[in-house]
Amino acid sequence: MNEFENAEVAMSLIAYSGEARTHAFEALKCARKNDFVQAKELMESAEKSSLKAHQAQTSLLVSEANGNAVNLNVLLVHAQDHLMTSMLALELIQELIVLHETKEDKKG
Amino acid sequence: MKIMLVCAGGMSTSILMKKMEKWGVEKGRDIQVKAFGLSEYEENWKGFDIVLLGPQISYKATEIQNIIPLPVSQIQSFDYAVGNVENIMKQVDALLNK
Repeated sequence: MNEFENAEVAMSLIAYSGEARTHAFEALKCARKNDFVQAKELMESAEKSSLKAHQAQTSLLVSEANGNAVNLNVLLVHAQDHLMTSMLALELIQELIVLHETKEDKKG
Repeated sequence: MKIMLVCAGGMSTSILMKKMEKWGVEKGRDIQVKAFGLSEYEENWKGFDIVLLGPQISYKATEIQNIIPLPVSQIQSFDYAVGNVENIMKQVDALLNK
């Protein structure tokens, strides 16, 4: 994988994990307003974007496994950072939505 | 035309900034692009014509729009990932020519 392709993968990682995070936070906003249907839809979109980010990362792993050393640069480290942050955000927000839902159930 | 790019830390948008500047030179369009992080946009928006947000901070669009009296738009993830400046500029032109 040459340097140019490497940068494309890094940018995909950033863009799609970022998109996932954006959807997750919007889902959380919906949950706060007790719109759980919309929240679930947004979380599904978040998962889909996260999957795309994962695929970008897998392409790097596959390349390395095939003996093509991946050129590690700051941009790629930064991209991994984005992926990690988004994955954690998705998991935690999923839990927060459940909490909001339980709270609403108890009220009613 | 002066374009402000905003993302979380200003790092990935600086990659896009380079691509946009190159595109501007190739197409003979007078565009000046600068990338900023979330902690910097508030002090620096004056003098720009439009604000574009990276997909990782699109959820802050309303918040940013409330602070900055400029058109604020979100870059589509795909355009961002592959650096499709052509599409991004179409979006910018559509917004500014309204």
